Amino acid sequence: VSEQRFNELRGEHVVYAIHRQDRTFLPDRAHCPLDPTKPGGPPTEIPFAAFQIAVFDNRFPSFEAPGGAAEVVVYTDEHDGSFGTLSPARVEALMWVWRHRYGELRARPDVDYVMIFENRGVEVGVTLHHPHGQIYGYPFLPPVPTLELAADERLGGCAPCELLQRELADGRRVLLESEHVVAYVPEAARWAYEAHVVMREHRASLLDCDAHELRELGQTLQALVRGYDALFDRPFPYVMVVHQAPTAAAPVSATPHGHLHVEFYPPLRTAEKLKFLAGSEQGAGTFISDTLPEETAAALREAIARAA
Amino acid sequence: LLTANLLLHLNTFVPIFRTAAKSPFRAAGDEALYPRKMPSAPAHPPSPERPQSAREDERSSAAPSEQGRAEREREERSGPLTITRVRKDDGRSLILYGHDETQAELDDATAHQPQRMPEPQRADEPQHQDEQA
Repeated sequence: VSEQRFNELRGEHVVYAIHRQDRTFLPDRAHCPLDPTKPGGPPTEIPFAAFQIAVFDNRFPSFEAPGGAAEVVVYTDEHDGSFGTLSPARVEALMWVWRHRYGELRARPDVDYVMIFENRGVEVGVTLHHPHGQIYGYPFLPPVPTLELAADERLGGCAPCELLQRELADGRRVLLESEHVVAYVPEAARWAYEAHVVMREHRASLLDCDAHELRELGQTLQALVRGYDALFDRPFPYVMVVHQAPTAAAPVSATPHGHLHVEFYPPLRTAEKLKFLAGSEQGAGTFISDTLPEETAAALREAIARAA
Repeated sequence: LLTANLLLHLNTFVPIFRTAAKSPFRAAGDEALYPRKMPSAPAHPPSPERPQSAREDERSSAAPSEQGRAEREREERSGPLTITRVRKDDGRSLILYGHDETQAELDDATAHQPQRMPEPQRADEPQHQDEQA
């Protein structure tokens, strides 16, 4: 029962999900709702004694049928750890889970855009420490994918394909390369350690990827996250977002593009200092950065090598 | 600190104490919609680590009381995943994904593609792709 209003001045929706004000907030370890339910223990969201990966409807949804979806993806039944500490097999399985959820949600008439994401760290508002991510099924096309479609129009084709070729040609900001996947700090990164993990071939979504591509995607994401943790030798907060083609039944663009890639928005600009969205970022929509992408890419590359 | 933890616990898991006033998130009959209730009892999962036959045996023999109030709907597959759909007692969907991780680890050992990390390079230096490997 969230409410959507349209902000005419900005041309974007605002969602009011005021029941989320009461959502579980940093519970102590013994009361983690994402742990498996232990006999005699407190109830949790997963009423089983063990599991591998679990996905459930959010108890405090921002969207819910017939007006979208909000799901929680629990990576493991082990309370401690992170995406970076999962086994390679579990990361690969998670890629398949993401693929499956995208496929199911895109078939729903009330979902126009599927966004798979993970918030990591209290710095970005995490309220549960158990390794997990989320999936939102938006009943409208949000501003960011709309901007990406506009970039396709502006560049006369798939923007991520074009930008990937530019990054490979330049090379200074490339972090990781494999047969099917490339990671780089974008030339015009807004966050100091922003990174994009992009499929080399044009793949509109996870559904277009074969098993090998999914495996390499998972490997690259994990190598990057481990590099983040090595960068300042501390758990590195980030927002990780999977960008894929919109799922609206009606065409949302004259050029129906969409290129699977994963973007990381880390708020740290040093080991202790956060980047805040202040006057210019909020009032004008223009990021002012204290760092150069070429320099942060070099530091991140070294951290990835240390973590490997 | 003890008091704070107790208050946090109450706020998190005993929402009925918090919503004495009429809430806009109440359905007909005055039943609270949010926060939804937690399931009441643990159940035994179809462990993906165990053989399929064992899981089928468990499915056929498990009494409803052993499964708590979560209701298992059906099992299916997607790629390497086994998928078990469960209806939680508050009506929400829960999907358990299983994966043969032993086999996947073996596959990983034989099919892993080393990733190439280019060395840092200044903008004014010519690029030598082979040297970056």
